[in-house]
Amino acid sequence: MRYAYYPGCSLQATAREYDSSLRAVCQRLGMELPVVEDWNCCGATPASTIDPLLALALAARDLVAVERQGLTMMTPCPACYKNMRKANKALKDQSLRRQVNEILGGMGLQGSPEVRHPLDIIVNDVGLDNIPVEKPLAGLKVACYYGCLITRPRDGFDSPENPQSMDRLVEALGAEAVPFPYKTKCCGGAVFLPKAEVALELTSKVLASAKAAGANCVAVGCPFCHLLLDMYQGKVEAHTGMTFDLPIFYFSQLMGLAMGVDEKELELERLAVSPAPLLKAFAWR
Amino acid sequence: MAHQEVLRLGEEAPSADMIALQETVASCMQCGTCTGSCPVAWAMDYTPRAIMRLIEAGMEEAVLGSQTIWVCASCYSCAVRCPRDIEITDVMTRLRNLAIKKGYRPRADVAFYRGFMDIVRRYGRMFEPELMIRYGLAVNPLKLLGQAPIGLAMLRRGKLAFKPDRIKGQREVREIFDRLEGGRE
Repeated sequence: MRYAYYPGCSLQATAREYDSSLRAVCQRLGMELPVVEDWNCCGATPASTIDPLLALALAARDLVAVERQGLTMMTPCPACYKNMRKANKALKDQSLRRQVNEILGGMGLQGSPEVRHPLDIIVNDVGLDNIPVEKPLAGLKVACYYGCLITRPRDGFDSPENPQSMDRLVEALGAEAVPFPYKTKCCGGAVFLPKAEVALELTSKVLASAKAAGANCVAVGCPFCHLLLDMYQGKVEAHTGMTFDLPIFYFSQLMGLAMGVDEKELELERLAVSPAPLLKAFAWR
Repeated sequence: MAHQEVLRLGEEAPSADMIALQETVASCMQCGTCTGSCPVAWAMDYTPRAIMRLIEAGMEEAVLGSQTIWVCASCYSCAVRCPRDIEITDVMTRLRNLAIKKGYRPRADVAFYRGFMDIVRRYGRMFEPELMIRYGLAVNPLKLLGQAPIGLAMLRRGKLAFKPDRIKGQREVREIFDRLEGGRE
Protein backbone atom coordinates (compact mmCIF):
# COMPACT_ATOMS: atom_id res chain seq x y z
CA MET A 1 0.00 0.00 0.00
CA ARG A 2 1.47 3.30 -1.10
CA TYR A 3 -0.01 6.72 -0.56
CA ALA A 4 1.32 10.17 -1.39
CA TYR A 5 1.76 11.70 2.06
CA TYR A 6 0.81 15.36 2.38
CA PRO A 7 1.54 16.32 6.00
CA GLY A 8 0.46 19.97 5.81
CA CYS A 9 2.05 22.78 7.80
CA SER A 10 0.66 21.94 11.24
CA LEU A 11 2.19 18.48 11.27
CA GLN A 12 5.62 20.06 11.14
CA ALA A 13 4.93 22.36 14.06
CA THR A 14 2.06 22.22 16.55
CA ALA A 15 1.05 18.67 15.56
CA ARG A 16 4.47 17.02 15.32
CA GLU A 17 3.38 14.11 17.47
CA TYR A 18 0.53 13.43 15.02
CA ASP A 19 3.08 13.21 12.21
CA SER A 20 5.53 10.95 14.00
CA SER A 21 2.91 8.63 15.51
CA LEU A 22 1.03 8.30 12.23
CA ARG A 23 4.17 7.51 10.26
CA ALA A 24 5.23 4.95 12.86
CA VAL A 25 1.85 3.25 12.84
CA CYS A 26 1.52 3.25 9.05
CA GLN A 27 4.96 1.75 8.71
CA ARG A 28 3.98 -1.11 11.07
CA LEU A 29 0.86 -1.63 8.96
CA GLY A 30 3.03 -2.08 5.89
CA MET A 31 2.27 1.23 4.22
CA GLU A 32 4.71 3.28 2.26
CA LEU A 33 4.24 7.02 2.45
CA PRO A 34 6.38 8.90 -0.08
CA VAL A 35 5.98 12.61 0.70
CA VAL A 36 4.35 14.87 -1.90
CA GLU A 37 7.25 16.54 -3.69
CA ASP A 38 7.91 20.11 -2.49
CA TRP A 39 4.35 20.53 -1.20
CA ASN A 40 3.02 23.98 -0.37
CA CYS A 41 0.43 25.18 2.18
CA CYS A 42 -3.15 24.38 1.11
CA GLY A 43 -4.25 27.89 2.09
CA ALA A 44 -6.35 26.70 5.07
CA THR A 45 -9.36 29.02 5.56
CA PRO A 46 -7.58 32.34 4.82
CA ALA A 47 -6.86 31.68 1.13
CA SER A 48 -10.51 31.25 0.18
CA THR A 49 -11.40 34.29 2.27
CA ILE A 50 -8.92 36.47 0.39
CA ASP A 51 -9.55 34.98 -3.05
CA PRO A 52 -11.26 31.70 -4.02
CA LEU A 53 -9.00 31.28 -7.05
CA LEU A 54 -5.95 31.49 -4.80
CA ALA A 55 -7.31 28.64 -2.70
CA LEU A 56 -7.86 26.53 -5.80
CA ALA A 57 -4.45 27.30 -7.28
CA LEU A 58 -2.56 26.48 -4.06
CA ALA A 59 -4.37 23.16 -3.71
CA ALA A 60 -3.95 22.43 -7.42
CA ARG A 61 -0.17 22.86 -7.26
CA ASP A 62 -0.09 20.06 -4.68
CA LEU A 63 -2.52 17.92 -6.63
CA VAL A 64 -0.25 18.23 -9.67
CA ALA A 65 2.60 16.77 -7.60
CA VAL A 66 0.35 13.92 -6.43
CA GLU A 67 -0.72 13.28 -9.99
CA ARG A 68 2.94 12.93 -10.98
CA GLN A 69 3.39 10.33 -8.24
CA GLY A 70 0.39 8.46 -9.62
CA LEU A 71 -0.89 7.76 -6.11
CA THR A 72 -3.79 8.56 -3.81
CA MET A 73 -3.07 11.43 -1.44
CA MET A 74 -3.21 10.76 2.28
CA THR A 75 -3.53 13.91 4.34
CA PRO A 76 -3.95 13.80 8.12
CA CYS A 77 -5.02 17.44 8.47
CA PRO A 78 -8.77 17.85 7.92
CA ALA A 79 -8.36 21.47 6.76
CA CYS A 80 -5.96 20.34 4.02
CA TYR A 81 -8.21 17.35 3.33
CA LYS A 82 -11.23 19.59 2.86
CA ASN A 83 -9.37 22.05 0.62
CA MET A 84 -7.99 19.31 -1.62
CA ARG A 85 -11.40 17.66 -1.95
CA LYS A 86 -13.06 20.98 -2.67
CA ALA A 87 -10.47 21.83 -5.31
CA ASN A 88 -11.00 18.48 -7.03
CA LYS A 89 -14.73 19.08 -7.04
CA ALA A 90 -14.55 22.69 -8.26
CA LEU A 91 -12.04 21.84 -10.98
CA LYS A 92 -14.48 19.46 -12.63
CA ASP A 93 -15.64 22.70 -14.26
CA GLN A 94 -13.38 22.81 -17.33
CA SER A 95 -13.25 26.57 -17.79
CA LEU A 96 -12.32 27.03 -14.13
CA ARG A 97 -9.68 24.31 -14.56
CA ARG A 98 -8.17 26.13 -17.55
CA GLN A 99 -8.13 29.37 -15.55
CA VAL A 100 -6.42 27.71 -12.58
CA ASN A 101 -3.90 25.92 -14.80
CA GLU A 102 -3.01 29.29 -16.31
CA ILE A 103 -2.50 30.75 -12.84
CA LEU A 104 -0.20 27.80 -12.14
CA GLY A 105 1.91 28.94 -15.05
CA GLY A 106 1.39 25.99 -17.33
CA MET A 107 1.99 23.00 -15.05
CA GLY A 108 -1.50 21.76 -15.55
CA LEU A 109 -3.62 19.47 -13.45
CA GLN A 110 -5.00 16.80 -15.76
CA GLY A 111 -7.25 14.66 -13.56
CA SER A 112 -8.55 14.55 -10.01
CA PRO A 113 -6.15 12.58 -7.79
CA GLU A 114 -8.01 10.90 -4.98
CA VAL A 115 -7.61 12.53 -1.56
CA ARG A 116 -8.17 10.62 1.66
CA HIS A 117 -7.87 11.01 5.41
CA PRO A 118 -5.79 8.36 7.24
CA LEU A 119 -8.76 7.36 9.38
CA ASP A 120 -10.57 6.35 6.18
CA ILE A 121 -7.55 4.46 4.89
CA ILE A 122 -6.94 2.62 8.17
CA VAL A 123 -10.56 1.63 8.72
CA ASN A 124 -11.49 0.88 5.10
CA ASP A 125 -8.28 -0.14 3.29
CA VAL A 126 -6.21 -1.74 6.04
CA GLY A 127 -9.25 -3.03 7.93
CA LEU A 128 -9.71 -3.14 11.69
CA ASP A 129 -9.05 -6.89 11.82
CA ASN A 130 -5.61 -6.35 10.37
CA ILE A 131 -4.34 -4.04 13.10
CA PRO A 132 -1.90 -6.07 15.20
CA VAL A 133 -3.05 -5.24 18.72
CA GLU A 134 -0.46 -6.35 21.28
CA LYS A 135 -1.61 -4.39 24.31
CA PRO A 136 -5.37 -3.87 24.31
CA LEU A 137 -6.23 -0.49 25.78
CA ALA A 138 -8.67 -1.90 28.35
CA GLY A 139 -9.71 0.79 30.81
CA LEU A 140 -9.47 3.70 28.43
CA LYS A 141 -12.83 5.39 27.96
CA VAL A 142 -12.41 7.40 24.83
CA ALA A 143 -14.58 10.24 23.56
CA CYS A 144 -13.93 10.16 19.80
CA TYR A 145 -13.98 13.73 18.58
CA TYR A 146 -14.25 14.12 14.82
CA GLY A 147 -14.78 17.89 14.72
CA CYS A 148 -15.92 19.41 11.45
CA LEU A 149 -13.88 18.59 8.43
CA ILE A 150 -13.17 14.88 8.75
CA THR A 151 -16.80 14.31 7.78
CA ARG A 152 -17.97 17.65 6.37
CA PRO A 153 -18.81 18.95 3.77
CA ARG A 154 -20.91 15.99 2.64
CA ASP A 155 -19.86 13.06 0.42
CA GLY A 156 -17.05 11.98 2.71
CA PHE A 157 -16.23 8.52 4.05
CA ASP A 158 -18.33 8.75 7.20
CA SER A 159 -21.60 10.25 8.40
CA PRO A 160 -21.48 14.00 9.10
CA GLU A 161 -24.05 13.57 11.88
CA ASN A 162 -22.96 10.45 13.74
CA PRO A 163 -19.64 9.16 12.41
CA GLN A 164 -18.43 5.80 13.69
CA SER A 165 -15.06 5.06 12.12
CA MET A 166 -12.93 6.37 15.00
CA ASP A 167 -15.24 4.74 17.56
CA ARG A 168 -14.85 1.38 15.81
CA LEU A 169 -11.11 1.92 15.61
CA VAL A 170 -10.62 2.58 19.34
CA GLU A 171 -12.84 -0.41 20.16
CA ALA A 172 -10.70 -2.57 17.92
CA LEU A 173 -7.77 -1.33 20.04
CA GLY A 174 -9.49 -2.68 23.15
CA ALA A 175 -10.66 0.66 24.53
CA GLU A 176 -14.23 1.72 25.17
CA ALA A 177 -15.72 4.37 22.87
CA VAL A 178 -18.16 6.38 24.98
CA PRO A 179 -21.24 7.88 23.29
CA PHE A 180 -20.44 11.55 23.01
CA PRO A 181 -23.03 14.06 21.73
CA TYR A 182 -20.48 16.72 20.74
CA LYS A 183 -18.40 14.40 18.53
CA THR A 184 -18.98 16.51 15.39
CA LYS A 185 -19.46 19.95 16.95
CA CYS A 186 -16.97 22.64 16.06
CA CYS A 187 -14.08 23.62 18.37
CA GLY A 188 -13.71 27.05 16.73
CA GLY A 189 -10.28 26.21 15.34
CA ALA A 190 -10.68 28.26 12.16
CA VAL A 191 -11.33 31.48 14.10
CA PHE A 192 -9.29 30.89 17.23
CA LEU A 193 -6.98 33.86 16.62
CA PRO A 194 -9.43 36.56 15.44
CA LYS A 195 -12.31 35.30 17.63
CA ALA A 196 -10.56 33.75 20.62
CA GLU A 197 -13.50 34.04 23.02
CA VAL A 198 -15.76 32.18 20.57
CA ALA A 199 -13.26 29.35 20.22
CA LEU A 200 -12.82 29.05 24.01
CA GLU A 201 -16.58 28.82 24.46
CA LEU A 202 -16.99 26.13 21.77
CA THR A 203 -14.05 24.12 23.06
CA SER A 204 -15.39 24.25 26.62
CA LYS A 205 -18.64 22.68 25.44
CA VAL A 206 -16.82 19.86 23.68
CA LEU A 207 -14.67 19.14 26.74
CA ALA A 208 -17.66 19.36 29.09
CA SER A 209 -19.60 16.95 26.90
CA ALA A 210 -16.74 14.43 26.84
CA LYS A 211 -16.40 14.67 30.62
CA ALA A 212 -20.14 14.25 31.16
CA ALA A 213 -20.09 11.20 28.89
CA GLY A 214 -17.70 9.54 31.33
CA ALA A 215 -14.62 9.68 29.10
CA ASN A 216 -11.18 9.60 30.68
CA CYS A 217 -9.53 10.81 27.47
CA VAL A 218 -10.35 12.16 24.01
CA ALA A 219 -9.14 11.01 20.58
CA VAL A 220 -8.85 13.43 17.66
CA GLY A 221 -7.66 13.43 14.06
CA CYS A 222 -7.16 17.16 13.54
CA PRO A 223 -4.31 19.51 14.54
CA PHE A 224 -6.67 22.41 15.32
CA CYS A 225 -9.02 20.34 17.45
CA HIS A 226 -5.93 19.11 19.25
CA LEU A 227 -4.46 22.57 19.73
CA LEU A 228 -7.64 23.86 21.31
CA LEU A 229 -8.63 20.83 23.36
CA ASP A 230 -5.11 20.11 24.60
CA MET A 231 -2.89 23.20 24.49
CA TYR A 232 -5.73 25.56 25.37
CA GLN A 233 -7.38 23.26 27.93
CA GLY A 234 -5.90 25.24 30.81
CA LYS A 235 -7.19 28.47 29.32
CA VAL A 236 -10.62 26.96 28.78
CA GLU A 237 -10.63 25.84 32.41
CA ALA A 238 -9.76 29.37 33.54
CA HIS A 239 -12.42 30.78 31.20
CA THR A 240 -15.21 28.53 32.48
CA GLY A 241 -14.15 27.65 36.03
CA MET A 242 -14.55 23.96 35.17
CA THR A 243 -11.91 21.27 35.59
CA PHE A 244 -11.50 18.78 32.79
CA ASP A 245 -8.12 17.15 33.19
CA LEU A 246 -8.67 15.15 29.99
CA PRO A 247 -5.63 13.92 28.03
CA ILE A 248 -6.17 14.48 24.30
CA PHE A 249 -4.60 11.85 22.05
CA TYR A 250 -4.26 11.71 18.32
CA PHE A 251 -5.96 8.47 17.23
CA SER A 252 -2.59 7.42 15.80
CA GLN A 253 -1.02 7.66 19.26
CA LEU A 254 -3.66 5.32 20.68
CA MET A 255 -3.02 2.92 17.80
CA GLY A 256 0.68 3.05 18.53
CA LEU A 257 0.15 2.30 22.22
CA ALA A 258 -2.01 -0.70 21.41
CA MET A 259 0.35 -1.93 18.70
CA GLY A 260 3.30 -1.77 21.06
CA VAL A 261 5.11 0.92 19.10
CA ASP A 262 8.03 2.43 21.03
CA GLU A 263 6.58 5.33 23.01
CA LYS A 264 9.40 7.60 21.87
CA GLU A 265 7.95 7.46 18.37
CA LEU A 266 4.54 8.43 19.69
CA GLU A 267 5.91 11.59 21.33
CA LEU A 268 3.42 11.53 24.19
CA GLU A 269 5.60 14.04 26.04
CA ARG A 270 4.51 16.74 23.60
CA LEU A 271 0.94 16.64 24.93
CA ALA A 272 0.09 19.60 27.17
CA VAL A 273 -2.27 17.58 29.38
CA SER A 274 -0.03 14.74 30.45
CA PRO A 275 -1.50 11.28 29.87
CA ALA A 276 1.05 9.74 32.27
CA PRO A 277 -1.26 9.47 35.34
CA LEU A 278 -3.99 7.88 33.23
CA LEU A 279 -1.67 5.44 31.47
CA LYS A 280 0.14 4.51 34.68
CA ALA A 281 -3.08 3.13 36.09
CA PHE A 282 -3.10 0.34 33.51
CA ALA A 283 -1.07 -2.78 33.79
CA TRP A 284 -0.51 -3.06 30.05
CA ARG A 285 1.83 -0.13 30.02
CA MET B 1 -48.87 43.62 -19.25
CA ALA B 2 -45.84 41.91 -17.80
CA HIS B 3 -45.38 44.32 -14.98
CA GLN B 4 -43.82 43.04 -11.83
CA GLU B 5 -43.68 44.95 -8.64
CA VAL B 6 -40.52 44.32 -6.72
CA LEU B 7 -40.24 44.90 -3.03
CA ARG B 8 -36.76 46.25 -2.51
CA LEU B 9 -35.50 46.92 0.97
CA GLY B 10 -31.94 47.72 -0.04
CA GLU B 11 -30.68 51.21 -0.64
CA GLU B 12 -29.90 50.82 -4.30
CA ALA B 13 -29.94 48.27 -7.09
CA PRO B 14 -27.96 45.18 -6.05
CA SER B 15 -24.52 44.76 -7.57
CA ALA B 16 -23.67 41.94 -9.97
CA ASP B 17 -21.93 40.04 -7.14
CA MET B 18 -25.03 40.36 -5.00
CA ILE B 19 -27.27 39.16 -7.82
CA ALA B 20 -25.08 36.09 -8.22
CA LEU B 21 -25.47 35.42 -4.48
CA GLN B 22 -29.21 35.94 -4.71
CA GLU B 23 -29.31 33.23 -7.34
CA THR B 24 -27.35 30.87 -5.09
CA VAL B 25 -29.73 31.30 -2.17
CA ALA B 26 -32.92 31.67 -4.21
CA SER B 27 -34.33 28.33 -3.05
CA CYS B 28 -34.00 29.24 0.65
CA MET B 29 -37.35 28.79 2.38
CA GLN B 30 -36.31 30.42 5.65
CA CYS B 31 -36.71 27.23 7.66
CA GLY B 32 -33.90 28.20 10.02
CA THR B 33 -32.17 24.82 10.05
CA CYS B 34 -28.90 26.67 9.42
CA THR B 35 -29.32 28.86 12.46
CA GLY B 36 -30.42 25.93 14.59
CA SER B 37 -27.31 24.00 13.52
CA CYS B 38 -24.85 26.87 13.80
CA PRO B 39 -22.54 26.52 16.82
CA VAL B 40 -21.68 30.24 16.74
CA ALA B 41 -25.08 31.84 16.00
CA TRP B 42 -25.05 33.21 19.56
CA ALA B 43 -21.99 35.32 18.74
CA MET B 44 -23.41 36.75 15.47
CA ASP B 45 -25.28 39.98 14.88
CA TYR B 46 -27.44 38.37 12.19
CA THR B 47 -28.15 34.63 12.29
CA PRO B 48 -27.34 32.60 9.15
CA ARG B 49 -31.05 32.46 8.29
CA ALA B 50 -31.28 36.25 8.56
CA ILE B 51 -28.24 36.61 6.31
CA MET B 52 -29.98 34.48 3.66
CA ARG B 53 -33.03 36.77 3.88
CA LEU B 54 -30.93 39.94 3.73
CA ILE B 55 -29.23 38.64 0.60
CA GLU B 56 -32.60 37.95 -1.00
CA ALA B 57 -33.70 41.48 -0.09
CA GLY B 58 -30.53 42.88 -1.64
CA MET B 59 -29.40 44.56 1.56
CA GLU B 60 -25.75 44.53 0.69
CA GLU B 61 -24.52 46.97 3.32
CA ALA B 62 -26.13 45.10 6.16
CA VAL B 63 -24.74 41.79 4.96
CA LEU B 64 -21.20 42.89 4.14
CA GLY B 65 -20.94 45.05 7.25
CA SER B 66 -22.11 42.26 9.53
CA GLN B 67 -20.00 40.51 12.15
CA THR B 68 -21.65 37.25 11.17
CA ILE B 69 -19.49 36.60 8.14
CA TRP B 70 -16.35 36.92 10.29
CA VAL B 71 -17.71 34.88 13.18
CA CYS B 72 -18.61 31.93 10.91
CA ALA B 73 -16.16 29.17 11.82
CA SER B 74 -16.57 27.39 8.45
CA CYS B 75 -17.70 24.19 10.17
CA TYR B 76 -20.23 23.23 7.43
CA SER B 77 -22.90 22.16 9.95
CA CYS B 78 -25.45 24.35 8.16
CA ALA B 79 -24.43 23.19 4.69
CA VAL B 80 -24.84 19.46 5.39
CA ARG B 81 -28.29 20.00 6.91
CA CYS B 82 -29.80 22.55 4.54
CA PRO B 83 -32.91 20.86 3.10
CA ARG B 84 -32.47 22.92 -0.06
CA ASP B 85 -28.80 21.94 -0.44
CA ILE B 86 -27.59 25.52 -0.33
CA GLU B 87 -23.85 25.60 0.37
CA ILE B 88 -24.30 28.20 3.10
CA THR B 89 -20.72 27.99 4.34
CA ASP B 90 -19.47 28.78 0.85
CA VAL B 91 -21.91 31.69 0.70
CA MET B 92 -20.27 33.03 3.88
CA THR B 93 -16.86 32.69 2.22
CA ARG B 94 -18.08 34.57 -0.84
CA LEU B 95 -19.46 37.29 1.41
CA ARG B 96 -16.05 37.65 3.06
CA ASN B 97 -14.43 37.91 -0.40
CA LEU B 98 -16.90 40.61 -1.32
CA ALA B 99 -16.52 42.48 1.97
CA ILE B 100 -12.75 42.65 1.47
CA LYS B 101 -13.14 43.66 -2.19
CA LYS B 102 -15.62 46.42 -1.34
CA GLY B 103 -13.63 47.82 1.53
CA TYR B 104 -15.62 46.58 4.51
CA ARG B 105 -12.58 45.70 6.52
CA PRO B 106 -12.86 44.63 10.13
CA ARG B 107 -9.27 45.31 11.08
CA ALA B 108 -8.57 42.31 13.27
CA ASP B 109 -10.07 39.74 10.93
CA VAL B 110 -8.42 41.03 7.79
CA ALA B 111 -5.08 41.34 9.62
CA PHE B 112 -5.29 37.64 10.39
CA TYR B 113 -6.28 36.46 6.91
CA ARG B 114 -3.87 38.76 5.09
CA GLY B 115 -1.06 38.05 7.52
CA PHE B 116 -1.56 34.32 7.00
CA MET B 117 -1.43 34.59 3.22
CA ASP B 118 1.57 36.96 3.23
CA ILE B 119 3.52 34.25 5.02
CA VAL B 120 2.42 31.55 2.57
CA ARG B 121 3.34 33.85 -0.29
CA ARG B 122 6.84 34.31 1.06
CA TYR B 123 7.77 30.81 2.18
CA GLY B 124 5.20 28.54 0.52
CA ARG B 125 4.25 27.19 3.93
CA MET B 126 2.88 28.50 7.20
CA PHE B 127 5.26 29.81 9.87
CA GLU B 128 3.11 30.09 13.01
CA PRO B 129 5.33 32.27 15.26
CA GLU B 130 5.47 35.01 12.64
CA LEU B 131 1.69 34.91 12.21
CA MET B 132 1.11 35.18 15.98
CA ILE B 133 3.51 38.09 16.30
CA ARG B 134 2.34 39.98 13.21
CA TYR B 135 -1.28 39.49 14.11
CA GLY B 136 -0.69 40.50 17.71
CA LEU B 137 1.19 43.65 16.76
CA ALA B 138 -1.43 44.64 14.17
CA VAL B 139 -4.35 44.17 16.50
CA ASN B 140 -3.48 44.35 20.16
CA PRO B 141 0.07 44.10 21.47
CA LEU B 142 -1.23 43.60 25.02
CA LYS B 143 -3.21 40.57 23.94
CA LEU B 144 -0.03 39.26 22.38
CA LEU B 145 1.53 39.27 25.84
CA GLY B 146 -1.45 37.25 27.03
CA GLN B 147 -0.49 34.56 24.49
CA ALA B 148 3.04 34.33 25.90
CA PRO B 149 2.37 31.48 28.36
CA ILE B 150 0.91 29.29 25.60
CA GLY B 151 3.77 30.24 23.31
CA LEU B 152 6.23 29.13 25.97
CA ALA B 153 4.34 25.91 26.59
CA MET B 154 4.50 25.15 22.89
CA LEU B 155 8.15 26.03 22.73
CA ARG B 156 8.94 23.69 25.63
CA ARG B 157 7.24 20.85 23.75
CA GLY B 158 9.10 21.54 20.53
CA LYS B 159 5.92 22.65 18.79
CA LEU B 160 7.18 25.95 17.43
CA ALA B 161 9.64 26.17 14.59
CA PHE B 162 12.44 28.70 14.98
CA LYS B 163 12.69 29.49 11.33
CA PRO B 164 10.38 29.27 8.37
CA ASP B 165 10.38 26.13 6.25
CA ARG B 166 10.95 27.48 2.76
CA ILE B 167 9.91 25.27 -0.13
CA LYS B 168 12.04 24.89 -3.25
CA GLY B 169 9.26 26.24 -5.43
CA GLN B 170 8.98 29.52 -3.51
CA ARG B 171 9.07 31.37 -6.79
CA GLU B 172 6.31 29.25 -8.27
CA VAL B 173 4.09 30.04 -5.31
CA ARG B 174 4.91 33.74 -5.45
CA GLU B 175 4.04 33.75 -9.13
CA ILE B 176 0.62 32.27 -8.34
CA PHE B 177 -0.07 35.27 -6.11
CA ASP B 178 1.37 37.70 -8.67
CA ARG B 179 -0.68 36.34 -11.55
CA LEU B 180 -3.85 36.60 -9.49
CA GLU B 181 -3.14 40.18 -8.49
CA GLY B 182 -2.13 41.12 -12.01
CA GLY B 183 -5.36 39.67 -13.33
CA ARG B 184 -7.40 41.63 -10.81
CA GLU B 185 -6.20 45.16 -11.37
